[in-house]
Amino acid sequence: MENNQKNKIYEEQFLLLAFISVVTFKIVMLPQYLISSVANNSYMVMAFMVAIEIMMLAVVYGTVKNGSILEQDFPKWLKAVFAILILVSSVIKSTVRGSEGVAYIATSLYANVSWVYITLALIMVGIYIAQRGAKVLARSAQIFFWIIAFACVFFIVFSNIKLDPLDLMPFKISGELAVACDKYLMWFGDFTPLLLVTVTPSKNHGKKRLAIWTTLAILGAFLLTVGVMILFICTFGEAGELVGNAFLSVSSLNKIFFMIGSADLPTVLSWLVMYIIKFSMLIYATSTCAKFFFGDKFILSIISGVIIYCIICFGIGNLNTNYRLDVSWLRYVAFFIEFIVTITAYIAMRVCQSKKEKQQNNTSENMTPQNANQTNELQGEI
Amino acid sequence: MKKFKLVDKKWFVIALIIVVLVVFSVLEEQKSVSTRAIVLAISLDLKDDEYEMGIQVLKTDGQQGKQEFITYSTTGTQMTEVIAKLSQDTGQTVSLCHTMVLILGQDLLTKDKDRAIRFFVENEELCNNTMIVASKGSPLEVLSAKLSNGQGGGYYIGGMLRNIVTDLGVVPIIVKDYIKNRYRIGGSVYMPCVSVEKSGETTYISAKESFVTDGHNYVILSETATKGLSLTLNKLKSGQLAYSFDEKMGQVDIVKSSSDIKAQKDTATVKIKAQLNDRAYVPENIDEKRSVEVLQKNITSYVEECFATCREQGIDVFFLGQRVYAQGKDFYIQSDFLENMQLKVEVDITMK
Repeated sequence: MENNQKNKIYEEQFLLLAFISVVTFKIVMLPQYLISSVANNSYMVMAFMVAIEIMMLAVVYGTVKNGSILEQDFPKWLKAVFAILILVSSVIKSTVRGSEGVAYIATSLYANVSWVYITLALIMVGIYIAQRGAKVLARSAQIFFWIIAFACVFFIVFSNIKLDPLDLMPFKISGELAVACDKYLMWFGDFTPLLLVTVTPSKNHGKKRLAIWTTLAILGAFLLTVGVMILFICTFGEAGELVGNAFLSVSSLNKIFFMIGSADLPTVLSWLVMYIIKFSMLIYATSTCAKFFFGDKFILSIISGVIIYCIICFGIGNLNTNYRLDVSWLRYVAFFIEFIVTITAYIAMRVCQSKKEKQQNNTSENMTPQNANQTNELQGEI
Repeated sequence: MKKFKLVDKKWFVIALIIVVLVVFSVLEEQKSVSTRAIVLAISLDLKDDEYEMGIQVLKTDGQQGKQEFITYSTTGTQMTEVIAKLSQDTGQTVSLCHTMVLILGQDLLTKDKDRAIRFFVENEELCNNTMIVASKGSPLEVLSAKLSNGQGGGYYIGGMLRNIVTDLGVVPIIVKDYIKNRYRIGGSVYMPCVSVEKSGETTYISAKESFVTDGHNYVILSETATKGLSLTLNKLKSGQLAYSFDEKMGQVDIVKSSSDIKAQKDTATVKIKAQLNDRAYVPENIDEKRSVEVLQKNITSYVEECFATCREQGIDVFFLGQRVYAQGKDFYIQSDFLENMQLKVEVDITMK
């Protein structure tokens, strides 16, 4: 029961977590890799994949508004399959994607610090937030949201936006786009951790407000992914294949850099908090799935964190290995799980719901008025 | 019965935070700022297939006004090796990320195939907004020049470049633009061309010309051709334009200017719109219409001179190939594409 409460989040909080899920890993190294594959048409790949991801998040919402998939009335074996699959996907994502964040911090915030220390700090924060449950995760995201919002406003106001069609043209739809979509699948489809929360309608906010926030979240996600991609292409052109940390690289060239040097701290901060939330979300998914089998023990969160830590520091260890893993067969495993689990969970939820409805209908049909009275009396006594 | 607890969770978290803070504070890799040599300007050239790199650092002894610009230089076949040697020479870890300007030698710009610049960009050694200039002579000489105002050559250029468009009409370029242009079709890059000049007792840096290269061929554009380049590439939005009429000199201020370039199969059209102000100085015997005509003629000749000089060396300075590619056409790949290109310049001047 306590666990149920820990995983309950409001609709707005779900939106925020979904927004962070979509945006976080797509604005660091992915633009560089996309440009090396499809040059100035990379924004099309980004737009297409983000649109699919947002559609899938609608399916996730449809599922979790009835509860976390591990708490719904599915057959136990199905829940166990879901738990194993999400566990595998989350371990892959948290290590492969997580190490990208570690590399960002190790090179952009510090001057080549060992990953061992960076990961240690991150993993401890991640374990702590994950252990406290989705509620704390969502609340942290809400608190951090203001940093993200401020950074985005700062970014838009001071960004040196020069959209030259010369950099974006010619508009060419070719097979190369599909090849790029396939090659960089690892960066897309980060929604299974959200299947482990329970979304409840917020008490104070109406549907209109939720609709406005949803529209803003979708627009914001597009602006921060496709918009940054377009800006990155216009800023660096095809030379973008040499430039990492896209969000930071673009924002460090803002309008005030001539006056006081590059002012990129808001961007660094905003991405860092998004990364911490996202990383914690993946550790949360890993530990929640482990807890499904071994019971709600704090040690499971620590074990999950230690495993992720060891893989990041001693298994991956540098950005080149990280890239090799990103484009390896692991991407198919992660992507397959993300999509299959989400769709299957939705179907399973609908089947269970219709079964329940049928049962309820049957029960009410079989009830004679006398039985019904007796039942009502019994219910009253209870 | 009360459950046994080895450590309270709260204290466990606090202990972990302390461990992290202590670990981070004793990191060996995190040298403090005082142990770093903050580089203000760099010179780089190729000499006998070896890099010759110079760095300029500022030393202060804590007293106001006591500043000393020190230049270190060394050679090596690899950039990592050169930087390590410089760290050894300075006795500190060389930190390049605050470099204001990178002064490149002509050999490096035309023979290195961008290996050094790629090193700086890929390893995030330099900020993307570090300025780049070409040196007419030895870049190390420009870097280490002690100017009459007491400043080091490199440091002075770094400050001067910020206003270079306004004052001199020379197009400044930053690392980001350099690599972007090198990846465009034709790969031409332009940058201010600097040299150390002496006039009596005064030593100063001159930056009125431009250096244009495609990584192999190069030209040095004259002062007027440089203005043509600045106007065409939409960079000259302020500053002055001088002209002469009946052996009298006049000068106008540039209020606003914009340009548009269109490339067809054998014609390129450059349209320049400029809003000028004649408050600076107008010869007595000239009316507005005549001065506009003279200026139109001048600007046209500046642009034509720039284009013709670069075309002679096979350098596509206006990125015409890229413009054709952006239209989805492929005739830019023909070998005589640039050779046969005719330039049409239209100048629209409004006097304010």
